[in-house]
Amino acid sequence: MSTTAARTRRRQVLIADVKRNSLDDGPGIRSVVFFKGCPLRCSWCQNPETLSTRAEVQRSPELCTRCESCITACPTHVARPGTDVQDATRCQRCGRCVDACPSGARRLVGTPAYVEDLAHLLALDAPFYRRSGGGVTLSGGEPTLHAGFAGRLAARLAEAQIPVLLETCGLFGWTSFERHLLPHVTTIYFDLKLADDQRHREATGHSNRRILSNLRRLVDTGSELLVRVPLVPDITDDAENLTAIARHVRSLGLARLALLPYNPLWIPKRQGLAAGARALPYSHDRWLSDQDVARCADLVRGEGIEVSP
Amino acid sequence: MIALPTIDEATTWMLDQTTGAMALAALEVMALGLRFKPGVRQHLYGVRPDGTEVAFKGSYVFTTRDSTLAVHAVFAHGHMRVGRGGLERPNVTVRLRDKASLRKFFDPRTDPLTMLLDNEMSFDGNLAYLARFDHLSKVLKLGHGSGTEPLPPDPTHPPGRWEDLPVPPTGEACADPPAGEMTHVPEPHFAAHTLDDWPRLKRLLWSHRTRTAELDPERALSLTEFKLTAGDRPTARGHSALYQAKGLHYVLAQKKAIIHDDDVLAGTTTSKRVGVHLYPDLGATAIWPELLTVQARELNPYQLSAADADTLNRRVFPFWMEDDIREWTRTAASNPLPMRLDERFVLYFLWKNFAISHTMADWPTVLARGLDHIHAEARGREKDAEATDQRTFYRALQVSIEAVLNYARRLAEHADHLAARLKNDPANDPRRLELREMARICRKVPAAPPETLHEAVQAIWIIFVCLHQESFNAAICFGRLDVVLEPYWKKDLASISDPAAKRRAAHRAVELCGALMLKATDHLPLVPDIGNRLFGGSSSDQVITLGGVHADGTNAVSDMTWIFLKAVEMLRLRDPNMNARYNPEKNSETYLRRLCELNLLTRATPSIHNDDAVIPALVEQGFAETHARDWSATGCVEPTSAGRHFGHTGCIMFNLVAPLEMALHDGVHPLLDEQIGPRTGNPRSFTSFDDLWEAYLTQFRWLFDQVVEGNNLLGRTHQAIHPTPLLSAVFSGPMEKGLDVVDGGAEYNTTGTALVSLTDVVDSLAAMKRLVFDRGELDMDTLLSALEVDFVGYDSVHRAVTRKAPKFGTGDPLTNDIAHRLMDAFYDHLTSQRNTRGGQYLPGYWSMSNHVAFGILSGPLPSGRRRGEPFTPGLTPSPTAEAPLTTQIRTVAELDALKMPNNIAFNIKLAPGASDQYQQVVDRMTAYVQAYTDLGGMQIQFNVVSSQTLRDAMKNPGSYGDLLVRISGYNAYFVELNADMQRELIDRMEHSLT
Repeated sequence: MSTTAARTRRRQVLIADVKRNSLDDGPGIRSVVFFKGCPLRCSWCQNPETLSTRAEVQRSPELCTRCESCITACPTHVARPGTDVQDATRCQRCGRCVDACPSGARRLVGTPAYVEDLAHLLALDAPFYRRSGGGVTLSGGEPTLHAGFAGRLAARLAEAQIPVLLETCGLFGWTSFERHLLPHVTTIYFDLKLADDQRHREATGHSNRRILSNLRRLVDTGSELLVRVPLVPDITDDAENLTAIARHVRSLGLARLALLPYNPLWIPKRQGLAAGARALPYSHDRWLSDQDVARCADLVRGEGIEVSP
Repeated sequence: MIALPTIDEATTWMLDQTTGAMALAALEVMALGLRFKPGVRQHLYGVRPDGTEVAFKGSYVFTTRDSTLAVHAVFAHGHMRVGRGGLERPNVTVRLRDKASLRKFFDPRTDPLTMLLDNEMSFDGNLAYLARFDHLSKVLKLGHGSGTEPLPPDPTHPPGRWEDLPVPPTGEACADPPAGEMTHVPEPHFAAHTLDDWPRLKRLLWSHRTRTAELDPERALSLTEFKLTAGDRPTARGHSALYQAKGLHYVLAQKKAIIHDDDVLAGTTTSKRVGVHLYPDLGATAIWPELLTVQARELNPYQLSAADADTLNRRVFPFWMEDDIREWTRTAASNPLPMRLDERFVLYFLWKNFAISHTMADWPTVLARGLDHIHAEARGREKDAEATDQRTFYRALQVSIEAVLNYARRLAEHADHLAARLKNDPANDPRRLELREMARICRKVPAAPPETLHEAVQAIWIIFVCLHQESFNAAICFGRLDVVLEPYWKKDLASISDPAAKRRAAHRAVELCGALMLKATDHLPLVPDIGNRLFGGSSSDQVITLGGVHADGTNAVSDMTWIFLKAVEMLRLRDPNMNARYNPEKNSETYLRRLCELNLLTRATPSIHNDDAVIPALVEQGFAETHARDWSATGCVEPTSAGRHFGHTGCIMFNLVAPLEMALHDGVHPLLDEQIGPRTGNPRSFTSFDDLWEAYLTQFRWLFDQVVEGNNLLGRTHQAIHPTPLLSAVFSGPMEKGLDVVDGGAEYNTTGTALVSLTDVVDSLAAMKRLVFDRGELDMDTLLSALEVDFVGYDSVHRAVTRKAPKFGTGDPLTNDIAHRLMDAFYDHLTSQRNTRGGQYLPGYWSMSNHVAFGILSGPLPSGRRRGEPFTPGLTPSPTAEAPLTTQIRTVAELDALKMPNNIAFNIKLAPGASDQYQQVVDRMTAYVQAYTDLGGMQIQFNVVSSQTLRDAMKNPGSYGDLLVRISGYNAYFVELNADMQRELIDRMEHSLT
């Protein structure tokens, strides 16, 4: 193995999950790579297990039989049925409690991956992508947090004629993104949550200034781009926000955006996670009605912007 | 101190002492009943055609398996004698597990079928005698002549008039008509037309959906009359064929010529509107015990008039008790072990009776030459042949052809007769003209070559009807009807240039093909109640195969393909079982999309095969490339080179789990509780996975060797008493070789098997390898102890094997590796064996419904599957394999097609959401199939229905009478399945499409 290859091989990032046969997250039949770690802390985050860049043990309390195998297996004596190990500072996140659990009540979220292995696994489904007009979606978490890794992965996939779609929250360092990732992705889904900076800070923990500037730069590159707005009840679905976003999109010369109706299925997911994710305050547990979605779409259309299906 | 027995112990002791007396008393009551009850004694006599009576002679022993207690009964001279102890060489020995089972057997409330399936009872000897005994006991229990009450209305049948039959949705117009695959049809999907545009088909379909099948004794009675007057049956080669041909001639001469209202094709397979064929030469006596009850049975009741029941009971069945294929074999080979094992149900089924039919005629040759021409050739060869057996064989071909032509002539006369009967009313003119045309056609074909599409279809139908008088109505197939009929269609259209006239011709072609398909629903195979319990729902499986390529490799999709597909879309029949070939290089994507669309519209048909996998698999077996390209499915899915390949493809249903259960019990099958296989060691002493592997394969090879021996014995019986001269006359090979197909006269002579439930074996072996041998997380003793009690009290073991062991279909390298290695081993063992026609045994991995039957009877498995649960259908990942559809498809596609030449059934259940876009669903289905074929997959079949809908159909069968489902190779109406099979379909993993 050459030294470059060896170096490449050593670089790993944590992957929360690879979802095959995904029929959302882009056209056709796709595989979605969920990277671990996100710079934002949206209160409604639907994939809370991907927030932290570290591995973590996710529990399914309803499967736990309190057999205490986890206690025996834990090298630092912190694992207990019904507690979250990573709340304890001594937890090494080694996953031995996961292996020991006979009921499958524990899952280690965050598997170290190498570019080559991951690209190989993703390419197994190439005939499905090709026949359906699908491909691979990089999602998360936030793939741009690992721009180098994600870029090499996308390059590998592009070599194999597999189209790569990037889903991003838009908060990334432009230089690294432009150098590593942008050349290798086919399509970008760019999430825009709130137009107002103060509200953006309150809901996500970050200013939206860099996000907006990244969006402008992306538009300038002429990339295939779709702006998506998550419709989160009482946070992003008001007329003021949607109108403002639509106007902004129009000002960028874009013709359309997509609306992502809120999905409450994530709520139980955070219970078995570390304190950080558990602490997410948002707890709206209902689906948006068709009328609500239609109202939001009308607001966007009112500003002369098409709504993608 | 003396320990006093408990009350229970005392009762048991007393019962043990009195069991013999109870059994004897029960038999004596029966003997008295037979002597004194009015109208009962006649059941002890058969009646010959001349009216003379033949008293039943038979002897029975009922014994515990340990032989500590036995009673017997003897029938002779119109009496029944009973006594204690055994007998020398009884016709049947009924073995009961213990004394309690013996008492239970004689309890009138007991269902002997349940005892048989639970292995509380087994039998040794002649099944027909057991059936007659069962019938006699029912006569006494129910009274003579009962059971003929009219059937209660069937809730699954739609009420009202044919006009009210719901019209199924129609597909969308073809967006991209493929230039090379159509010439005259205006639009390949006929999207502008619905069933309402073919009122005749709608009426015939209504008739199909509203009629209950009726047992038809016509052929059975004729054949009995022939047998009782024809003198001794010769068994020498050639002579046995001539005897059969004469029998066929007699049967067809007696056969009523029938043309129903609305028929465009003359002739029917039975004398009833929907008839259940009875082949007493091929095991029909199995229905004997149900003659009084079959109308009232819960699943798939049959109508049976009192007169017909009496005919069967006295004029037919008594004369076949020694003379069907099984009994002949048993006698010839002194009740051989392979047949005794077959009768235990859990190891394998030898379905030689059905396999003899599993093929299709050489239609292109037969139609191009006409039967007169073939007859002349046989006559010429008879003159030239030197050996007597060959001369006799050629004589047999002529007699069987004469039988067909005689029947065709009578159909013509009947059509004329019906036409003449119509009043001279202009309103009757259209039908009168139709009947006159029918008469003209039946006078011409199949004697002379047909020249029009209508003539060709009628010629096929007449021969098809006649083939059903010769062999069991199981999977006598139509074959590649689009390829066979296209030349006649083109000829019809050659002289038509007016577009409107072309449209009318296409309309008529759809009607004709639809009428042929509906004609094929006029009969059903006999299913005794045990079949309902274990299988059920299957009809004849008269496969029509469409698409693919011609023998020369050119695209075979044509106008006729689209015409048949339109009929499939409107009729949604379970049978003919529709199979479509997809040739990725030659067939268009439009065609594949149409196949997927039809699966969405009909929910379950056609199944789709990849030419790129099937053709090489046949070539590997020695088929010429041109012959391999000309393949058609048989029965469920089995590839058969059309008209030249006698493949006996449904011959053997082999339970792959049985050798595993035996390997885990040192050669004892736990249900049978007997040392049947070789001793391969106590698994607790296995030190490595290799030990287990070797034990499994040793048991497999031993059990499969039994199968080969049994199948070959049955094959020799076919040669002695059941040649099929008519099939031989319309087949490629027998004429040149001077040999009947049962003697190896066909060009290709393989034996097809279905190795059932590979997935369950793979998952079980993988669980043991990973958890017991590799990781040591589970010890063998604990696992085996858990299996003994069906995991009760071993929750942690069950969790470990279900959650931590890899499953086939998830892409895990271990399960993939085990599957590949097992298939290699099976292939090597099977293809090295030879059948009685000189051909090799071929492995296949479809299961029909046997994954449920074998599953019901099998114990818990290391995979975590519990006792009695169905196995996994066909070659499909288990519902517990939590893997995305793409991974499942990849896993199955990567299996080596060359190792499964008898094909597979890969089942996928899709459940589109209510709001899904129609085009998008079709796009996605098409993409899955394309990717599957890109990866080398062989066969794929869909159920496009949600579990929720199936559950609702279980509760409200009345609203779902036409709900079509695909089991593991064949189609069925969901509401006709037994509850186990319904639940298995519900439990299949469901994949959404958006």
